[in-house]
Amino acid sequence: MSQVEVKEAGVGEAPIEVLVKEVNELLKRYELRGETRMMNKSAVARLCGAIESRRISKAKQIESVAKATGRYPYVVFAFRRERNAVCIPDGNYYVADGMYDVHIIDCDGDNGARCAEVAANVADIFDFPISREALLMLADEVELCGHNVLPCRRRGERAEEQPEAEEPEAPPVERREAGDVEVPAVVNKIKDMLLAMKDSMRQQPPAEQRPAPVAPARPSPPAPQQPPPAERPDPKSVLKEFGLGWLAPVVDDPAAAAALRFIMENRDILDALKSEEKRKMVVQAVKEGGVPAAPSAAPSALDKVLERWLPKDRERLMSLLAKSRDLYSLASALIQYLTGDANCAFDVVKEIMDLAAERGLTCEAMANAMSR
Amino acid sequence: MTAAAVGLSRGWAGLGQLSPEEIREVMVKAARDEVAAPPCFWVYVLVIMGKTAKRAFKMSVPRCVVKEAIRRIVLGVIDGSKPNWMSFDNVRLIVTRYAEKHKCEYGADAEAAVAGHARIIAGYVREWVRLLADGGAAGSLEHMTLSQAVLHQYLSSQRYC
Repeated sequence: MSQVEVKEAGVGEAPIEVLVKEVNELLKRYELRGETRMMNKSAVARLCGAIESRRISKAKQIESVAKATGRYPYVVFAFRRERNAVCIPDGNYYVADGMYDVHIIDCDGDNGARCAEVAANVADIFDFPISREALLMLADEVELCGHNVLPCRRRGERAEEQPEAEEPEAPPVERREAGDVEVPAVVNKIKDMLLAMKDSMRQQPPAEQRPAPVAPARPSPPAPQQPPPAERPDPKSVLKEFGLGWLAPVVDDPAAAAALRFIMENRDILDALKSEEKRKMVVQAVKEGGVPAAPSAAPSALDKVLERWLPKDRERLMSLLAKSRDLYSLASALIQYLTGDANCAFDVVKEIMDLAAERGLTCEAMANAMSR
Repeated sequence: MTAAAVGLSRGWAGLGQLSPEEIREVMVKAARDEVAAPPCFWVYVLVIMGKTAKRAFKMSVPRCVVKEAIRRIVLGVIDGSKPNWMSFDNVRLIVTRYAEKHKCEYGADAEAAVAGHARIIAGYVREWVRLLADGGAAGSLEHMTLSQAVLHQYLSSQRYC
């Protein structure tokens, strides 16, 4: 470091200040203006005001640190606005004698709120209690609220809190932390998730403890038996979440699920859907709520299910079918709609994938089929 | 609430087999995609980080997990196909939008907890904006704005654990 300016030289109580030039460039990178000076205790006191006695240490060990390193390793950040400075010292003490790296940051102009934000962050790192009043020296309350430095007051709160603000013994540290806010519901929720994730890590998940709304990169092999419905993620709510409530019967209603399974398993229908002409016939049949005429193996289960569907639901299915080359395309469109890509992510798609897997189709095979 | 959650709500002993080290391991593995985590998990990480985690789990949330949570939340909110600039000044709003999108349990208390960590979250986001704003070509550090596409491309290539 180049020491370019020595303001006053001396020992003992005479203030000493040495400008450290390189830091200016460093501060500029953080869009702050300022300078760094080496100061002794009296110079720090002149800049920052009285030093709390409880933060003064006369530990002899400091001497050995100074001898080993050639300098006292203490840093003070001084955020200066007009004639005031908010100072944050590194460590929990000042030594009686010694030199400090004092980073003086210019907080004049419209820099105040950003300065206060940096000051609060530095105070966090140094575990230094910085008072609300000190922060308000750097910027007004609205600006500090905008920079998340102080909690924002709601309308009408100001008048109620005014008497508190006038109390002389106001608590110095007002920065909120999560510990100040009780979030038992979230704690329970994340504990639940952690347990589920830990279970899945053990690679022996009991059938009734499948990780809830986990988004797997690849679908796991289908459970051979149907798990108890209470422990499974609710596909209906998943569908509703994505605006696909009209498809809920597919995964919710056992008969509809059976119909879907039937379609998946019935090559005739899949083949029929590949043909433009036959697909139109199927679409027409679905629209009318009747049995597809073209495939010879007309599925009675499908017929029954479709009869129970509302016309508007059949229309939605019809429109999706009309746009789909085959059921794989339909599943692909669904995945695209849900996730933005075809990586077999969500539970609702997994339901379809499970059916396909039961037929011996892997996710890769499905993905290949879908990308045709 | 599951039986496990009921046990957990009664205190640390209820968590049973998960020690603080194991929790940390699960979190880091989730951040590395070695174990699948639900979208809301990342919101809850931001809610419990700090004193809540220390009190409830006897551990600190690893820094890389926090950064990964912020990355995933920002990625979940921005649209990578849009080159237009988006303001990242209000990180609380970003978390709220993500939580609403994924129907997370995100009440006023959780929101207040995140607000308490807003400076930390904003610090990471500002780091990205500072890196990518590129002298005003892709964004503005002054206004904390950045092209969604640029940020999406950058964050997609990052992993913090």
